[in-house]
Amino acid sequence: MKNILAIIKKELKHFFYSPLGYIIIAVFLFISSFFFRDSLHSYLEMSIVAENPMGEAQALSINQMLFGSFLWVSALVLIFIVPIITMRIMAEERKTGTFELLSTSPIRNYELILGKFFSQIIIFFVLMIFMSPYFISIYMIQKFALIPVFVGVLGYFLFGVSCLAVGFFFSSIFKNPIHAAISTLGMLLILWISRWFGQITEGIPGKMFSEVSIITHIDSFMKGIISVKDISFFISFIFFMLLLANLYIDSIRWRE
Amino acid sequence: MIKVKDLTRKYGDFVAVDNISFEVNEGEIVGFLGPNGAGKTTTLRVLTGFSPANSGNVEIAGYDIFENPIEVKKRIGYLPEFPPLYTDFSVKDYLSFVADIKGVESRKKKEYTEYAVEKCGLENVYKKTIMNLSKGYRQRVGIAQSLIHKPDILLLDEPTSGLDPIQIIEVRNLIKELRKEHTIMLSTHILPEVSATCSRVIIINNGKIIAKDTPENLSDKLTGAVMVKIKIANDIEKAKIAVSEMDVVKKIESNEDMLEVELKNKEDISKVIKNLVEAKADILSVVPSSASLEQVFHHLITREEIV
Repeated sequence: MKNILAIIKKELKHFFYSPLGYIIIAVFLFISSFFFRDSLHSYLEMSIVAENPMGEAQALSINQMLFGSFLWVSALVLIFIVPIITMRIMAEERKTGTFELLSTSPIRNYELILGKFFSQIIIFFVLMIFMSPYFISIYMIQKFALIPVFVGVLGYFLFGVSCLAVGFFFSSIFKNPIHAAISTLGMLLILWISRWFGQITEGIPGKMFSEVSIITHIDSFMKGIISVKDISFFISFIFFMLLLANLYIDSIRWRE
Repeated sequence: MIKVKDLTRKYGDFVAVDNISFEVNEGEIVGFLGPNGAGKTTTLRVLTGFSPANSGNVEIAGYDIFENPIEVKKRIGYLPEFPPLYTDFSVKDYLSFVADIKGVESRKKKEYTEYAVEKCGLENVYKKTIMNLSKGYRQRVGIAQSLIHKPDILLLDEPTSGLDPIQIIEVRNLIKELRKEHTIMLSTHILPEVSATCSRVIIINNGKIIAKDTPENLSDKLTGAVMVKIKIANDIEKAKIAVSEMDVVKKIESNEDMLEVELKNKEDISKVIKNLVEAKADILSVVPSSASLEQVFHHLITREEIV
């Protein structure tokens, strides 16, 4: 546990000592605030239409129409931000030779991986905290049911952590952070578009494409529904990625 | 302290370390000498627990490296060929992190850090970012990193490579100083390093150990004879005749004012001098010369029959 904490501390220092950390936060907030404004705008437009007696009456859920759609677009932004957060997490250690320091220290592989991965989760969590004013400001204007929104945020969090796990895996297998970032981006895009493959393909293959896509599994969260199936998907996905990373890191010792 | 038996390490079909055995006792500084690519780094990496082995046993401080790597790693300080530094950290932050992962207890951390900082002379740069340090200082931070948990054993992979002559002397002095508290094994391809710092040499080439001895013994073994250079002020030809009659002399040559005499034993030098004095030669200097490590090394790696 002490080792895991030491590694978390070190990784957070790396992130917050470097300008890259702040650039990532700034860019992410800039883009996501733009999308929030956009989601809010369309929600307001729909409200006006709904209030018009001539218009077609429809149930306007603030959770689905505003927060849900915002989180969904924001998840797309994450696909581009996550590779930059995770690219150097393992790759840089191997590039600069500090991997030798870590692997000749009395720490176990899983402590190294968990420490590093938790640090990434904390960074992602910080990003999410920066997004909280969007929600709080709306709540101050108009109270809304909190639980469905929290469920949506939970889905977003699980999605983000899954992306981090993909990034972690690719950072483990490459020595060059840029290679890791590009592969992560490619993989996340593939996992994203496989949902569309699923929609245009019939039968079992179509179902498979759609189920493999990480984005498919946030739908129910965005509707405010906690689904055991989706939670277990995310957890197994994260676990699987870390396991692959662990296997690869273990095998490095045989090659170097 | 270190016991290596029949160690073999392959990379695919390439045999990097071929069935080597050696021991390092407590308090020794052992030099691991060999040309680049001889298997020095690979051996050290096995000793640190970083690299697995294909066969053989390695016992360090009483623990088997393959069965108990964590215990071994607690007792080893390792400086890789390129010091493993986080250049965006200050020396303080860096050493603090290393102390944490090396398992230094929190209450001893301050004392141990002070020990490493003082030994390596890092007081002036303690709060500086590593990125801004000179190469010599970076190397010292690397060494500080290896001793921060006061390990029994220090493994240093080419500790002076890439440093300027003054820094090299500083690092060598530091290593000699560390000898009092740690058993040290250092690898190098630079010969004077071994004669300057080590009490024993292990020479490795193509993954095989080809010699194990003290630096002095290795020189003697190679030549099997003693060379003496005698400078004569007056008639050199007369002196040459006087010496060449002696039966202890194997070979004699003269050029200008210098006699080069090859003898069977060191003790025979005095006989030669006596003879020269009786022959009324004016001796200006007597310099015994044994083969330098350079020659031993070259000899060993070109003809691997000694020892």
